[in-house]
Amino acid sequence: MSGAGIGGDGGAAESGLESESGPESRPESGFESGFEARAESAAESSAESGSGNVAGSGSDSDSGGGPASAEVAESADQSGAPGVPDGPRDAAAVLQRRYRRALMLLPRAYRAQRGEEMLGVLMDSAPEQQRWPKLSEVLSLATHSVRVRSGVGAQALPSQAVRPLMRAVALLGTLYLSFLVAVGQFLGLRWNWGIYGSDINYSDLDGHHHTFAQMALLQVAGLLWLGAFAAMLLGRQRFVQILGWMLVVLAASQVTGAYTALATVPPLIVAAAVIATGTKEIAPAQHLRRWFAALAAVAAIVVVVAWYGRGTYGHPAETGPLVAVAAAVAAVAALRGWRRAEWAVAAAVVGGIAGIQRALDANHYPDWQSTGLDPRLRLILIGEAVLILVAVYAIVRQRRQKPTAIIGS
Amino acid sequence: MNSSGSRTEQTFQILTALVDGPLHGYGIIQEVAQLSGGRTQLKVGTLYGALDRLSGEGLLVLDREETVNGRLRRYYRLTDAAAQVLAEDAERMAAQASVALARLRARGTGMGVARGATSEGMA
Repeated sequence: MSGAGIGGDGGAAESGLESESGPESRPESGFESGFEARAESAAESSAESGSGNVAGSGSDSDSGGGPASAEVAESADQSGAPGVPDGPRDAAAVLQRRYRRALMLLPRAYRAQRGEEMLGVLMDSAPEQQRWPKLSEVLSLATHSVRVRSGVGAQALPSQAVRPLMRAVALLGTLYLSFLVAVGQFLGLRWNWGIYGSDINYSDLDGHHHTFAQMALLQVAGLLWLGAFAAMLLGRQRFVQILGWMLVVLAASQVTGAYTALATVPPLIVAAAVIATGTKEIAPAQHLRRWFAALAAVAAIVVVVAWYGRGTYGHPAETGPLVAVAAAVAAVAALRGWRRAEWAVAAAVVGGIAGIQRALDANHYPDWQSTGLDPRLRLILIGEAVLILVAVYAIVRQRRQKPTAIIGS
Repeated sequence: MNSSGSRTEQTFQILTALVDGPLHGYGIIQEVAQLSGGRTQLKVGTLYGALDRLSGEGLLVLDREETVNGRLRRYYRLTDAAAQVLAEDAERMAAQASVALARLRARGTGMGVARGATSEGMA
């Protein structure tokens, strides 16, 4: 088996695969359909390439009673060979049928995409006289089946799925918070400038008043979120670690714009995700240009909406930018989540974080307290519900349509 | 994407097998067996678990499909990102091996093994 032509037909050429089989033996699109027909096809295919098979018909046909001989007889009937079954041909047909049954361990959707291909590899790997599936191969398929069915599919073991999710949460979370804190604060300051003229009121996006020093800290905090975001994209592990811990300190000290102690929890969650991402080597993002283009797009949206939006009490229109950022982040995540569920899940997590933060801060708005469920809060809740639905859909889709990255697209 | 630290030896071997060009599943099994001197015999479930994972990480893509003697074959090839990741892994492993061999020489034991390994590497 070893040493065969790797780049071309591989070792399967040993059994005469250079000769093209007839059209009836070509695999069909569906693995499920034509189960018996495919066993018959295998018998015919085997017959065509039978000259290369081992001449052990005696040992094959006299393998005794039981299910093996019954299936040999059945296969012989299918291939139109009456009487004593032809060993070499039927050995391949029987083995193929048994491997096909072993592949039934895998989920139906996965089989539909991978079944024929995996069956071909199993048959290519088998010695010509082999009649029963190798136990080690069956166990391997069973293990693979568990991976595929385990919610994260065959893409990764559960423990390995946590890291991509952490990274996605960290990226989306830092993207959101960097704009919420840094750009938002800047625009809030600019808005107040516009209203009060030279009487600069150091209030943030929510109208919270700060000293100049506090405002400067807010800007630094915003830049740290942005820095962590960029460091993760560029795969700079050391920077990610350092920035992660700095962000924890900043978030815990309530200088990131949070107005209540509870409101520091969402930034802390994102900071923890950043630290978790930095615990191991980080591969640079594959589509750096796309990420930074998304960054620029989100920035443009925020600037435009915040500049022209109208807020109450002379405050900047905080709802507009937040919704715009959330929509942009959700759109990016949805595009990513179309192939990778962790992005959709991360969008729901970050959306939840944003929603909690806004809801907690909302308690400090008198109009929010007096009028019950504020339309803005309702909007946030609806948005989060949509994100959760998208995440659930992405998980279900990923479970059913493995492997998406190679074949499904 | 998983860090290279969590990448298994089998995954490393699969990536290495694909450096020279696209291979189908059975071709990968053969090439890995050859590269490992027969020590690694990939099972089909293991192979496709790795292929799914690597493709999910953007390290592999489908190159083409062929039907040979009624059997579907899909050829996989490395992405540029995979070549970069593999190069980093290989350099790290080489550095670790170099340190280990140097310490073995300094210890004065296992010199034959160390020399043999070095000469093999040189060859």
